[in-house]
Amino acid sequence: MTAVPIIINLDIMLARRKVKSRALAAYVGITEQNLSLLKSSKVRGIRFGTLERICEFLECQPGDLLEFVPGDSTQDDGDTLD
Amino acid sequence: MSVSDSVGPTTTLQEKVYCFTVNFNHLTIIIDYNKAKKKARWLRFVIVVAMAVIALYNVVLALPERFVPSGPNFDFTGNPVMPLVHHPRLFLVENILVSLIYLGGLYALVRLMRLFEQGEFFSARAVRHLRSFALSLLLALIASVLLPPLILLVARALGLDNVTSIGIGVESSDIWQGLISAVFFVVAMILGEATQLAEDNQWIV
Repeated sequence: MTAVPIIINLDIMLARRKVKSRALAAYVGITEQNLSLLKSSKVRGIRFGTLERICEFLECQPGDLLEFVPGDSTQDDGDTLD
Repeated sequence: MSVSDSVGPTTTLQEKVYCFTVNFNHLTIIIDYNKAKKKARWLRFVIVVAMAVIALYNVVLALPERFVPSGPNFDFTGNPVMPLVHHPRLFLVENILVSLIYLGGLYALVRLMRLFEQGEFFSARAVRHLRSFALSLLLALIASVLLPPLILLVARALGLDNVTSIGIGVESSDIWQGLISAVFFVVAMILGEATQLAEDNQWIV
């Protein structure tokens, strides 16, 4: 998997809210391993349902969690346009 | 990706328990689905019995006629295909070769069922086994059509079994077998696509 242009700032939000990963994972209904993958941006996508639960728990907007960094491109799933 | 990790979320969905295990080196999805696993186990037993029957049939065919059980209502000797109707020994050779192809295909199917029993429904290995089975059907069809004239040709060249004529025959069952083989190839292709989708889905949280 190559670097993704979308960065997930989940650890920043967790630190701001002083919330532990375990609590968030339990609330969202995903494993801590999956949350860890999410934090390190090692996933191809995030379900709206998951995003909704995270935003609900952390009382934030999706824009607070996701950041677009121009320059990097995804080439692993063939979604890029020629 | 060099990361080797194991993720094991267990989700309950409408009383069916799915247990996903992800290996990042070789991405495979393990689905713990008891009903399908049980069916796969039964099917594996049936396939193994079918393999035994094929092997037994060839053994019976190889026995001298006086050892073969026969009666007014049953016949274990088999009906040779048209070109080999007067050459029982050559028919035996042809039958053994075709049976070996079938046994290979059925073995691939047994391995596929074993994967299903382990809960590995959508994986590259499963697709490969199903494709092998479809290929064995196609090869068996080609062999059953082309082997009789080839065997007769070789026997004539070697001066064996008093071969005077060489013929080739295609039966309606051969056409059906070709179609069934094509269907299995299509199913294998769809399973491959499903595997790709399942793998992609694993990366979505």
